[in-house]
Amino acid sequence: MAMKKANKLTQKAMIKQILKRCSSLGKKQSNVYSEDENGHPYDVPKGHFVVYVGENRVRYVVPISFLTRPEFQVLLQQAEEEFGFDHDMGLTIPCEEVVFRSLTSMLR
Amino acid sequence: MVKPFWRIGAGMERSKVNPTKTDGLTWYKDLGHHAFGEFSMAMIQANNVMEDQCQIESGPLTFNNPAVQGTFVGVYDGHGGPEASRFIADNIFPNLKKFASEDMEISEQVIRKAFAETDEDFLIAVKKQWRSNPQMASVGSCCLAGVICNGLVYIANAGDSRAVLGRSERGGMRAVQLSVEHNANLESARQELWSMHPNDPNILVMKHRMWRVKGVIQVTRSIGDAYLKRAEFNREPLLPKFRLPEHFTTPILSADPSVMVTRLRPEDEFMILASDGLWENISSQEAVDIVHNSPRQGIARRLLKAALKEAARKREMRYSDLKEILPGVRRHFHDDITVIVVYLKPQMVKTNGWASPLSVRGGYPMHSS
Repeated sequence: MAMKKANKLTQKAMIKQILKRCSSLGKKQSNVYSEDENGHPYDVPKGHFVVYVGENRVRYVVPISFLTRPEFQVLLQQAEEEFGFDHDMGLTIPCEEVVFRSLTSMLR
Repeated sequence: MVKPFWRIGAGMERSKVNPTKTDGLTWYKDLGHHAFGEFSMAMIQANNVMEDQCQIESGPLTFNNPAVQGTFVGVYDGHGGPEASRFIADNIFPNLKKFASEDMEISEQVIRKAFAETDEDFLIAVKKQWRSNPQMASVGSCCLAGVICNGLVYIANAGDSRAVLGRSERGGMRAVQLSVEHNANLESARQELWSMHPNDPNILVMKHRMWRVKGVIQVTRSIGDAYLKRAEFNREPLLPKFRLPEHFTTPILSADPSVMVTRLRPEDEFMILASDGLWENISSQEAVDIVHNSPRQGIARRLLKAALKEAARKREMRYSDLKEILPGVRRHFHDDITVIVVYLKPQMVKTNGWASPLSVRGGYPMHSS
């Protein structure tokens, strides 16, 4: 139990360190996607939503269960500090793609 | 777990039992009667603590003249915490009644005085707890208040909530905006600030395509936000992120509302008052069309749903999934939203109705600190 807790702590510290290296974003890319007749995007399954990651705003479809994970909440906090809550198109995460991918792979 | 965030007719000795309901993060009153017709209210929480508050008061608008009857509607969209919006909900209507009693009538001046007094009293409360609770200096709230009385509707606004009138015209229902909004992303609000602070080149700062007053806040008028009104609060122990680098002498934000007075016409069917959480997802005309084309029962909740559906579309997800997101992280998907629809019974417009007094309030947490 104690071991687990210690691991968790170092993991959190690691994420924070990685996030520090994340750069601010430049120009944005618009999200072009197609919808079905119910207004649901074709490639977003039930229980998922979309975020745009990194400088090139690459589109990722992620499960909404991520929202309850502290690791993912750190990313959202980063987004809030950088952009507030106003995103023109899509929730944008100011983080390098490689960091985002390794972080989210731990959550799956 | 989801915390309920409402109470009914708080502190109003004359209030009658008026059932309201909650469903998860939604609070609503599907249909009720005010002095001149029916109304419908709905709110949804997105923040960790619900920062929106709202109320309807109907009946006498003074303490001493029962002939002055009307309906008071308030939408208060708080920021930095719920304290300012709650304070407004507790105080602005009694303040309005106090000044209306002195003048024996409702007027634009009476409403302005009620705003000024409410702001003043809140700043006094901030000062009182400055040592123990300095972050109160960074709490504020938009304040939208509507008064229907004597065939007139007064809309007073400080902040970026909005009131819209549904006026029937040949071929449909037209949205007529009744409020002036104060948000730095509107040209008019920026011009006003620049002209009031000609010697401050940093009064408005653009950050990520959004204008912010002093780089910190989008609204340009509000109740509260003591740190932007009085330099005495622009220092320790307030958190550094709320402290401005330079000293100021003129208040940066004002609590003085823009007031519009409109004489109601027989073709005026209803008013919609809502916080910006609604308007960032649906337009005034869309909202008016929905109200025009739907049954009255539950109309405010219907508008809320339309806004949430659009919020889900923007995040490229299903509405059914959005509904399950917990408060806090939910703020990344939409803001707290308050909607009040007030129907204006055309035959009651000319003379004052004498419906039984009513007081409904939404948005108050059951476990407030």
